[in-house]
Amino acid sequence: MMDILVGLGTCGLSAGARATYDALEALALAHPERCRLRITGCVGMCYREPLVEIREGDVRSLYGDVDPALAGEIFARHVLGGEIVEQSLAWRVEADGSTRGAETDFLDPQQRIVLANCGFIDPESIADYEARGGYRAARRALCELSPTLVIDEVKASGLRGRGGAGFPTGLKWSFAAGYSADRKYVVCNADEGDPGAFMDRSVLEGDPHAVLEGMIVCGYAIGAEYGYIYCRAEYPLAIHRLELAIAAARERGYLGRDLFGTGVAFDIKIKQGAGAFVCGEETALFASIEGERGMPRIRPPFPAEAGLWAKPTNNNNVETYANVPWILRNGAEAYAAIGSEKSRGTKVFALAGRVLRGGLAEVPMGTTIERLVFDIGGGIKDGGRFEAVQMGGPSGGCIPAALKHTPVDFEHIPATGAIMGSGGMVVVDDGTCMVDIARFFLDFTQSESCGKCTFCRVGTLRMLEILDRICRGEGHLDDLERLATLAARIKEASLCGLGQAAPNPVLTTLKHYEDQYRAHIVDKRCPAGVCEALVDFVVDADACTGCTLCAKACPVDAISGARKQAHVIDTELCVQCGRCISSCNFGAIFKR
Amino acid sequence: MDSISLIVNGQSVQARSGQTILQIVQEQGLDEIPTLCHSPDLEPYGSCFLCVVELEGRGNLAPACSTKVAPGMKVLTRSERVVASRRTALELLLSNHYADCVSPCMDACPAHVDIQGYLALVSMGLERQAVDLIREANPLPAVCGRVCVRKCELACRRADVDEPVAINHVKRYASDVPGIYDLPVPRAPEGDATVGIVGAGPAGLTAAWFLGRAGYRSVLYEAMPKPGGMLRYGIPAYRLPDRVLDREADHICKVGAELRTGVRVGQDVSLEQLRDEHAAVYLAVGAWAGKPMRVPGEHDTRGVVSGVDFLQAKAADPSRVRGTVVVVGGGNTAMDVARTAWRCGAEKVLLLYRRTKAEMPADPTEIQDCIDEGIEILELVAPVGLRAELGALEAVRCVRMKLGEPDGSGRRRPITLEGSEFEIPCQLAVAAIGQNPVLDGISRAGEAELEQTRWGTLAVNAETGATNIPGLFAGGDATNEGPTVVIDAIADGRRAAQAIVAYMQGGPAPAPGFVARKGDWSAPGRQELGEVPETRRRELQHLPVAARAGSFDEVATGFDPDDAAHECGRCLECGCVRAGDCELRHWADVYGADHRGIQGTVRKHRVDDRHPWIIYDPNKCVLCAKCIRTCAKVLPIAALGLVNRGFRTEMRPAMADPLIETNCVSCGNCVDACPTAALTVKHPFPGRASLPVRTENTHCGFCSVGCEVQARIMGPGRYELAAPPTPGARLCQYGRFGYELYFRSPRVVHPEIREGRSRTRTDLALAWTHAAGALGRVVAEHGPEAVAVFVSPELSNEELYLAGRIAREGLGTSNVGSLSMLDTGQESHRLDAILGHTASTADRRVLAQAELIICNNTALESDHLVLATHVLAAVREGGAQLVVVNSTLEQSDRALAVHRADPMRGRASQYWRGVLQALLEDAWIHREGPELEGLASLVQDLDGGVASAAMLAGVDEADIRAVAERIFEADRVVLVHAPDRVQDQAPGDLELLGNLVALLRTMGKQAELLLPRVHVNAAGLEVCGVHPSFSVGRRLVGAEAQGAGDMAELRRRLREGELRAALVLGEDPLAHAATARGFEGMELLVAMDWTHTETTRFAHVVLPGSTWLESPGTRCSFEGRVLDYAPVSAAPARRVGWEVLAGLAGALGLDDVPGSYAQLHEELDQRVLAALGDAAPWYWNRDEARPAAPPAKTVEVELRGGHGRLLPPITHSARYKRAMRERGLERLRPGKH
Repeated sequence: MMDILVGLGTCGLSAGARATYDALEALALAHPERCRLRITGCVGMCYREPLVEIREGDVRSLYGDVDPALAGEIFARHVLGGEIVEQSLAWRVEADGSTRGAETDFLDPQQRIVLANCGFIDPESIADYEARGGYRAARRALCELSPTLVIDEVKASGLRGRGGAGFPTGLKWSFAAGYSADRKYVVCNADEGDPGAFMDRSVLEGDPHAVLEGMIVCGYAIGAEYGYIYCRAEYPLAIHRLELAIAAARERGYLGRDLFGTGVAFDIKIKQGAGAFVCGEETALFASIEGERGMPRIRPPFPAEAGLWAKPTNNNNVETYANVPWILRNGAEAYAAIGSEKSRGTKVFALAGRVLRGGLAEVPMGTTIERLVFDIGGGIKDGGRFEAVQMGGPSGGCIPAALKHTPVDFEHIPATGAIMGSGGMVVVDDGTCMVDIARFFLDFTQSESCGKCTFCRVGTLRMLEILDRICRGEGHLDDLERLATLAARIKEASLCGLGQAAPNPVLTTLKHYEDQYRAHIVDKRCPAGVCEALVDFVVDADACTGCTLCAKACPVDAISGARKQAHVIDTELCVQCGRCISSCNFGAIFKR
Repeated sequence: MDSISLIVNGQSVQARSGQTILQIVQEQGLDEIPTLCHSPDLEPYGSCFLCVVELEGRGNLAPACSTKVAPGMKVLTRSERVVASRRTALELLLSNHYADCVSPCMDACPAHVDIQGYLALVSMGLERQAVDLIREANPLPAVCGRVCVRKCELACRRADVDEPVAINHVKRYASDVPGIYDLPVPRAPEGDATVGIVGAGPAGLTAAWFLGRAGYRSVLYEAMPKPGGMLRYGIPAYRLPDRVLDREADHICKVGAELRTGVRVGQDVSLEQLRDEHAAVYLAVGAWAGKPMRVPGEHDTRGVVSGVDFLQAKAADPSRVRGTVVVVGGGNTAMDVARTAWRCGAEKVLLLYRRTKAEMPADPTEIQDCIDEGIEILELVAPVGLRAELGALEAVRCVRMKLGEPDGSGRRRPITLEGSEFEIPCQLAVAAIGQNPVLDGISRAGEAELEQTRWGTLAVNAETGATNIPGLFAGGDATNEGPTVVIDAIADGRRAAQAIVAYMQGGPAPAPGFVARKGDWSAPGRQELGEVPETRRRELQHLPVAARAGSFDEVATGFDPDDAAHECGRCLECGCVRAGDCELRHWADVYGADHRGIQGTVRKHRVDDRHPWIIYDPNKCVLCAKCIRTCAKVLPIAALGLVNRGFRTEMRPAMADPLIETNCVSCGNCVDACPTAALTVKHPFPGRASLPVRTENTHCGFCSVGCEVQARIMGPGRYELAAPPTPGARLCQYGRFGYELYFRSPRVVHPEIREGRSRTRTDLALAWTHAAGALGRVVAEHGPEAVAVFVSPELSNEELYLAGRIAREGLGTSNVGSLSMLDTGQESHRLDAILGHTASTADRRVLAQAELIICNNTALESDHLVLATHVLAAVREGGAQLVVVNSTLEQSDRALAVHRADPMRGRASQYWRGVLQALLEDAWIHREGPELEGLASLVQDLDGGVASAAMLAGVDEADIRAVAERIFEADRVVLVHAPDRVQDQAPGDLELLGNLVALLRTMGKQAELLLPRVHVNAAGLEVCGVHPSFSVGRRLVGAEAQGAGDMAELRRRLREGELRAALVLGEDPLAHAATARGFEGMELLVAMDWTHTETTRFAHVVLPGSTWLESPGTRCSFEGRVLDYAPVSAAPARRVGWEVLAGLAGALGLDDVPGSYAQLHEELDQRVLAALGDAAPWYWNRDEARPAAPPAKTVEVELRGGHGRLLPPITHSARYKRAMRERGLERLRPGKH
């Protein structure tokens, strides 16, 4: 009996996995004796979606880019014929545990704790989760350990918050445990909002029970009976699977008034966010749950003392909670053995941007940027040159190629001026303008600012206006100092992390790419050829054959020239739409 | 609380734990930390980030408003980093603050005269104050009102609609009002440090004025025989009469300036001597040398003079000018010369100008006047030579010109037309083409040379007037760019005075204050001004030309009051109403913020003035959210909130609807909270300008909560009411905006007597005698029981007291009461037997401590919003539970109540009877509680039990039991009941609530009863003797009284037409059919009121009354507090209510009525206190503590099982009802228990 698993995460669905599934469903129904069709979450290889796995016992064959036609072929040849479809095989685990296939470089170097079940189990089946040791951690905590011992174990594991700041999780729990109140809350921040980050979504879609279990353990440890998962409404599939998981867990008695027969009560509600980035900030998140406008509040009091509804509250993100069951199952020592000295365990990264293999990769803390981008990510797409990675989203910064040996952990990344963030890693090549990328992120924070503090509300706009000016070629050299001064003021006098970190993309690019800024200001030139006002489209007269295709493609009639004669572009008329470049068959048009 | 020691700015400081940095810095006066979003009344918010401080060892700056102190903390409140951060925060806020701090006219005026302010004052008829306001910046209003070039009018935004406001004409109008110069001004004290001022022209006079006002005396050295400089000798009298100038110069000298005329410095006395004699010297010598025409022979031809010389000579002696006069030039001086020559009888006056009229720098009205007076203007003509005969002028040789390309001044350059030469025969040629200063004798001070410009003027610092020699200042026409206009000289003089004062005191010269200008982005333009009806600008009246010839009488004759009012009404009031007390502007000043460096996108919004009283200008909002947070203290769901994100974030009413369409209750507390002028109020009178005001603290006269209010008085009859600036002080819609009533309603100003259909105005004395005589005749004919006095519960205690005395002593009747109380049908002594007093048992502060608040028959949000905010705070912050028993629910009831009950209308007594029984059955007897003799049998004796009560009340029995359970669980219960509110009134409800209080107290709980009254002084009626059964101090009236024995009887007498005459004070019974019928058959009606009503319309005698804003007085709040009322505005009748009543009392033969308010109040106070005795704290409280609640009174009752002592009747048992019927009123008489 074979299991056929189709990856039905959001990444798979958007690549067309539903059609693949439907095709396979028809086939599988015809052969119930040979196979069983199941769904699973994202294994992380988003660049090869739709993914289909054929599993026989421990032997797993993972096929990539499976459209309905290929699905039919795989079904016919592999399922029915027992033959491996080699040309589409992404990854295969043999009975002896050895692996082969095109994507071994991507999957083999990973060490999977958080993603262990993603792409392996059916996220809609609590039995699947249980079969992988699910809820054993919660059972152990509630039945065998005191809350203090649970906190000690988490402390001993060295687990630090995966939301970005890296605050030691055990310590955080002990704070909330230290306050007594008639009610306490456990909050899971699933308001993943950084552009380019999708770790939490994949975990929620691929292994929702792990998050619930982590929250249950936390609730027991701090003495809370109520849990909230604050999930952005843009993740409908994640919310759907969480709802299924919560219902199943309630049915099993893992949630409710009497967990595991111990008399301990804990239950979880989902609160959908309406898409405000700032609601990822915990105090704003609490305000949003309470029905208020999502705006940060002044700290202290800290959430451990007065958080949600002014009660002691522990708030961690999805990935942090998802680590907890593993720690309680395998012991703090085993966890602490992974990773670097002060950053223990693994970290999930979302590789995106100009990297060849874009997807999720979980690696031990301390893995270098180079290993992530080149060994796992496969280097740069389309033959570009590696320029930088942008980490931490709008609050983070760019780490230049020169620092590619930097180990990725809570100690080394902040030293570069960037932040760990929640794990978004946008790879940037030489076709990207660093001023433009700073502008992009600042624009994001400016429009997502809650508007409360002066510096974040107005200051970031004034910075953005300077960047706009620079990108238009109207900058002055003293704008650089103006940017740096404003950035410093915004950082030191904003209420929440959003404002305090908003200037980071500008500061890191200013630090590592001042030459690019100067090129815009002094030479009126955009080295990457991105900033429209500083770029001209020109025809290489030698390469031009005078085929007239470009002139036909031009929507504003900016290209002129006789047939079989080199053409010219009137830069006054040109709107830089790029149609001429894509229409030219000889690569004769370029940006200057 | 623990004490913490920390270090602030290097200084060791003790603080209590839990305090914020801001609190200890403010409390101990360590520094002034700026805030915009913080208010001690609200939770720390942290949005403006102005209050940041530096904490040692912490990377980021910390907001002082919310950072709590910690032991050993090291705080820097004014480090360079802190100051830079605060400045940047201000600049960022200002970079999105599309607003004008001051109006463009004020900004454009070199002297920065508060034009909008004085227009507003003139519009209110306050010319004297208007002129004072002008003199704050310009001591020559009458002069400027005639000769100013009016840069203000060029900047006037009204020009975008039609034409600029005639600002200067209004200034002239105000300064010409007779008597404006009569009032004294403070004179600077004698002192060692004096200032020598050289030249008594506009700059010198202005400097003397401001030096005097700053406390320094000065000596004006004037070379000419009279002061004024060019004002006198350069401007002809038909434009500026000498008497105007004399009056103004005299007025200026009153501040302590000594005028020494005929003294030429550099000749009669040296500059060096002046420097020895004075602490500082100001040179304002003017420019007295005319510029030459640069034509051959002009200096040695008779009949060729300069304009200044000509005008100076004619000012001294307007002798005849003969023949033809040619005047060269196109400025005001040229016009003055031409018109003077014409007046002196010249046969013909020709004015030559090398460009055209359009390029002339002279005032267009001056040019028109020239033309009107027959002066011929030759355009495009320039003199090139002279023809003289024997040294006497025969003709001027001229050429014609054409206009070429624009030159440096922007005007087109005149070019000579070759061969166009011609001659104008004339006897006199006057060159009026500019002046130069004469610096003979003053170009050096001792060794030091005074620095000069290349134009031969003195070089000075334009901001301070300082020359290169310390202590020597200069200004006016003799400095920098040379001669200019009067208002520039005035501005120079003022700046110099400030700089001289700073120099003498050793401080820096004051920096110009911060001003936000819409023009920093772009001029608003027509569209932004909205719909403004177009009106014509009025011009001054002029003498007819025929009357001007040969006369130096003033040509422009001024404005009449209607013209002035019209022009003031055209002002668009562009300047900010809070320019004077805007917190943003204040801090921008203090921190020297300049937003222009980081200026970028600015948000422009429409001003929202759709609310009847509140204007919201989002352009001025700094998003401190104080309004939102304040609103949330008033309403359970704030009517205001934030919308959008990022830079687009805005404060908006809920759902971005117009404020008036939200749940806003129009209390205006948001306006008080606003640190800028984003939220402002509309006044019921014209002139929104920010004006100097006087404040007066008084109390609100609309309901018995009697909130403190602050009146901000802008002048006679013009004031606004606001909450006093104490944290947490709030008002309701009535308190804040209700005073509009007094602006809108027609006032009774004169007493009137009606006979038949004719009404005649009379004086008070006659009205008194007439009324007293008529009342006396009715008493004589029908007896005192046929006369009644009806008194409004809004009158002051003193007025009530006089009304009571008039009834009892003047008319001999006990028919005295309030019609408002008659209607509600309630008696005012119902709790006396139960609690010992019928009044609130505590003040509103008990709400804060309550565990359970029960509101029965209340509409707090509508009737007593401020009390509702106390309930809201008790629930939100104090954790109290709210139970509401009412047929209608308000928004706070819905949002806050844990239990809502709705007994059928009029059945609330059944409901409370049920609750009492439930408490007795379930709680007291079965669970705990002291033994009381006879209780068990009483409970058995109750008729019907809880189930029956529930059925009669129309509620579930469970509902009653649930409320009883909550009451049982709570230790501190406050009951709130509005006895005058009729909607949910039920017979006996107050007694039942009293019983509940008594029962709870017996159970050992703290129970209090608050009785908010609708009418402000309802609680004062019986205390002051306006009640048939009570005289002053609630003393029961004995049987000797003639007339009704109680309110019910008074009501019956009125209804049944037994009354033959009535004195009605402040009430309007004829407006209501129910009461009007009782008045139908009356022979006589005497009414006193502040406004015309139905009753005053039909009254035989009408007496003028006054409002609570016009008369001193006291009123009793619902808590029995004696509140003081201060007069804020004068009564139109000139006599206030108590004076009118005192006169009437006198006419009725009461010869011991006190003659002053103080004596009257004293008499009342003593009589009330003496009569009330121990009960005083409940009725006549001046914020002293009430004694502890007395033990609940018990009464002896007869029960089925025998006798016992019990709480007063807990229910209306058959026995009780029978006892009531039998004893009736006897139970209230003393000694009958």
